[in-house]
Amino acid sequence: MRFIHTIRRFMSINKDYLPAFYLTLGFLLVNQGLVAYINYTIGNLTDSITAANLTAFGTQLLLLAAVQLLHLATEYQVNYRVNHLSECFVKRLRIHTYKKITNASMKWLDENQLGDIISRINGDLNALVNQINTFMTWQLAGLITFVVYTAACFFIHVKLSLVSFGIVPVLAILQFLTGRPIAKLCEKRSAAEGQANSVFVDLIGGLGIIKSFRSEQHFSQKYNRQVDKTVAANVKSFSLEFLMYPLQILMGYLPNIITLVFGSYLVINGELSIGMLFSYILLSTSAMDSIGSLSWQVRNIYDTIGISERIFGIWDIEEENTDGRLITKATDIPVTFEHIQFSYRPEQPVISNISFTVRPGEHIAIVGASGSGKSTVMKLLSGFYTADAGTIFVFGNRLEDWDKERLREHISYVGQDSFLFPGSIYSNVALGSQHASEEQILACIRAVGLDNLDLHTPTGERGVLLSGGQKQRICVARALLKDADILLMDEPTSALDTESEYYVQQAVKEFAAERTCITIAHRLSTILHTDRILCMKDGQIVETGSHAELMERGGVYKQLYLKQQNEFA
Amino acid sequence: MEKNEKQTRWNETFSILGRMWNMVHQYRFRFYAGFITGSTSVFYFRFLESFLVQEFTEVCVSGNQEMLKQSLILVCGMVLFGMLVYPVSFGMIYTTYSLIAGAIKKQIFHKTMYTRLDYLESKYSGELVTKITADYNDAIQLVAYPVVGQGNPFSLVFAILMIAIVILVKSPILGGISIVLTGISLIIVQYMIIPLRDKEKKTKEISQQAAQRIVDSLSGTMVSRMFGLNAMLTEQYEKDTDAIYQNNLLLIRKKSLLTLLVDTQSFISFTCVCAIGLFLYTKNMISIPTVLFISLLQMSLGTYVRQLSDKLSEMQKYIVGARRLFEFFDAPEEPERPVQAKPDYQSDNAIEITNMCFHYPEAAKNQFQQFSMSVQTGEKIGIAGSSGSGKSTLMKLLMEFHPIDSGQISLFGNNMQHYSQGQVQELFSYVPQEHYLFDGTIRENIVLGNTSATEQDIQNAVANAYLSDFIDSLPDGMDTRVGERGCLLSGGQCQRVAIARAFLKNAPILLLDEATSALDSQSEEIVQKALNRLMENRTSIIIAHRLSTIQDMDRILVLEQGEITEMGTHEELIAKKGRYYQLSNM
Repeated sequence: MRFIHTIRRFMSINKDYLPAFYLTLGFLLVNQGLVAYINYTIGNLTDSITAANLTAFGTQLLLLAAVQLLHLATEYQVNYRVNHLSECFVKRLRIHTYKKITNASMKWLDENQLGDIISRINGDLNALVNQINTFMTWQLAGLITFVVYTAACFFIHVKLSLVSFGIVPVLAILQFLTGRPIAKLCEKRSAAEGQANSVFVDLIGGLGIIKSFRSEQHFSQKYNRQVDKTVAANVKSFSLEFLMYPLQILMGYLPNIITLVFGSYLVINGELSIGMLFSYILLSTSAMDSIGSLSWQVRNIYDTIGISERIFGIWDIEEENTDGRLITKATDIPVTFEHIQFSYRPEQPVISNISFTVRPGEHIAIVGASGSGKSTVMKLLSGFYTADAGTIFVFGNRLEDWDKERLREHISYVGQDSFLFPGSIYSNVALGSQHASEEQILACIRAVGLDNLDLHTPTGERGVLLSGGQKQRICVARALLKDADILLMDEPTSALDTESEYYVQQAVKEFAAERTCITIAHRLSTILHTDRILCMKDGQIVETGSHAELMERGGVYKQLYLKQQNEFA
Repeated sequence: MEKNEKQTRWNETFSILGRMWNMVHQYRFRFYAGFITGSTSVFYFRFLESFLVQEFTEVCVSGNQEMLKQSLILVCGMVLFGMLVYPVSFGMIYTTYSLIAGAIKKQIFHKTMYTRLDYLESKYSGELVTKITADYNDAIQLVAYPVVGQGNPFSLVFAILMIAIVILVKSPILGGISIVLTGISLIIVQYMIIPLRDKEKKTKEISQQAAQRIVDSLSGTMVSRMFGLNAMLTEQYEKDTDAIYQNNLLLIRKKSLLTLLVDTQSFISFTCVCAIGLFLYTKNMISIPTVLFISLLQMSLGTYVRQLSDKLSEMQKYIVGARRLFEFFDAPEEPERPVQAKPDYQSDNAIEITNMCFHYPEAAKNQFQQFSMSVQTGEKIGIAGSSGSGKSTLMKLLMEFHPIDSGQISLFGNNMQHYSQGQVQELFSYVPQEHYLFDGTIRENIVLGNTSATEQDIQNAVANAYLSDFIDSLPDGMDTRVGERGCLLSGGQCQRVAIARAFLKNAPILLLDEATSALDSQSEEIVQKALNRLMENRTSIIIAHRLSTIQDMDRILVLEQGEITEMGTHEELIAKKGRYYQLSNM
């Protein structure tokens, strides 16, 4: 049933290919029918020879040549159509899955480890692509071949067919029974292998440390033990696996031997001509071959279902809410939070009852210990999460009512991790705005002090090597190029070298002085001149005011500030 | 010219196969047994099938009941033989395979551990693990090939030869014709298949690119949504999938045509052999069963030849992987230098660098040109400078992660070259930028600093790193697993584990690389306290990006493009109003 469900689910994105699929099935049927007929004619030919009937032989030979020509034509059609269809399915599958993950809700992305998702998607996607190809080109064709050839066998001799195919269900059950434990062994083996691999990955990652502590030997031993374990598991599973193997060989030959013994007996008794026996053997052998090892088929189908269900899991992920329809500003007030509450997990509130309003052109800084909810405020504002209670207004519209894309057109963003797309410095900055001119892009790059670098060579391993600070500056340039009403900067100055910090501040001053800015800051020294500072603690805003006001007040902010002063003084 | 190239390629292939063979040496008996049986298996089963048909047809033609029994016994015997011998030998082959795979893995790991870091970096820039794993997989296929599976090239060669011999012996005329026909088919296929391989390669390349796009759009999802890039990225991805589709479509057309040709050819061969066979039968030169036997066997002959050509081209790919792996195995492994001197801890200068030159292999410019500096024993040095000025490189050179091009580094009164590498490493405690923790317990990660430390030493190190409270709060204490890359611990906790490690090592020189960046102020405070304690009574060199961290140092160096441009205490440098002043006012 899972199988049918899988097929149905899969075909739901491929509905328009259904006619093509049926047509392909039709061609397959005709083609296999022709092959069956060819095999039948070969038997007739043999009979005419043994009967020394040369006229019959001649006619048969002409017929054979004609059918063969026809068969070649259908064969080409089948080959092409099957593969083509399989490619179409694969293309759909890729694009559909890709769209799903790019629209996934931030909540889902947070709940899952990114590396995990990536390896799962890429691994599963490739595996499923292979499975689809296998299914279309081998399993589907195999099934049809089996049906057509079996029918032909029954047409040639019913009694013989009953005997030789009678063994098939028995073998099927046997294979099914042995197939399961083998599949289990394989699973166990790949699990052990995976473990050894992850040890390897872990150790290579810390190679510098290992070398600086000269612990090579310790780790070599640790790894060798793991490998020995894997090898032992392998050896054991292989030994068991091959205990099953004789059974598989027997199963492969038994139908043939039975056919030949009983068939010869029939020929000797004059119930079957030798030519027909020959045709029969050709057909029945191909029929058996076409379904191949049944345990392999079963395992393959289970695999396919498993992989498909994982991919369907991705199709089913929660998508970003895109119900909002409003596309224009209602007022000039950029941001208002009204009694916002939010938690990632129930009973663990991250934000509890926050209210504030940001005036147009105001520069706001949010400070507070890590875990106080600063980044969450930003993500709520960008519409990545929905508040549990309370309302957020952006330019007078409720956040939920905004068309998400239009909303984000008003917001520019510099993230905590300076993410760059593959490409040059120039192309990364250019991503900030699709309709910026070259001068505008270069101006932004100049503003962050990167104009002395090679702007048009790809960044990364083989190209321009960038430091963390330089990467962050590119992100800032990108955000400035967008020139949106609101600039969000999530901890832009952490982990920056002094030089980068300087350029970032200058660039923001130059390009975003008139814009509304909301900055999450760690270094309190960088926000001394901000219009207003929101100081957060445990998901609440505990103090609001300018640096001078907050210092005078002598509360949480002053403590934070003095502590940082002491540390570095 | 071309011929020479081919010649060297073949020589290389053989030398790599030879080396592979050597690796197999310790398991040679299993291997030989597996090799021989594995190579005959294809032929054996194919022969068995055709023989089966021949035997029973003969029974039919003769109409002899007694003969039916005999044939049955003979065939059953052959099947039984196959049933007993091949499973045992396959079992043996596969276990050998895993043993060899294990041995290669160990050697890779050993090599990775003991090869110089700079070699690794230049050879496998970036994704070391992925690349090594890919090479390993290719190499292991090469071992697997001769022994594993029924489609291995040796078994195919054996099967082809044996079939040719058998049919020639059975009937020289029919056999000869079969072989000629197979030869023709081979030429056609070879001619058509080569351009297909390039197309296949192209599909693979685009698929990899498409996979990379998924990685990018997922890791950059915040950016792509905030900047409205989703539509553009989706379009790029669609373009890739479409390119795959178009490329494959071309491939399919050609392949279908090829299949058509092959089918036609094998049909013609089969009909020819049958027809000629039957003609010979009417002349009483051959029996019907023999005609069947030969025509069945010759059908597989063509198939095997085609398979062999596929396998050989596949093998080329594995050879490339194996060659890279062997190059890696051959990488220079530094011999441990003899101990020629003992560090003089009373020496005035802990570190003295004179006229050092160094450049990264891929870089055009020298990172350091005639660089000199010295650090007094017990002195605390801070290094400032913009990113890329060579701060981190300096530390790596001190620890011999890279060899210097020229000049000299002296440590505690002696040239570094006069110490063994082990002695050099013992002089340094290194707390790197990334606080890498290994999957294992907290204890394992700390003990790494000094494997012969007593429990008391460990407890002291933990206390000095301000970790005691945290560890006591854990149900499993020191034996808590840290998770892969320490992901179960917070950033500050990871750093303190790394500091405890350095305490336990208790080396005379501390090297600290930007240790305090990217932490919130509370965690930073406690990490800073632990670090201050770690610096006590130790010669320390600290790279800090924020100048506030190094204000208390005895001396601050400002590094610009591999040169010391300013030097002095914080006050002196501020008063000088130079680069340092500029940096501190940014």
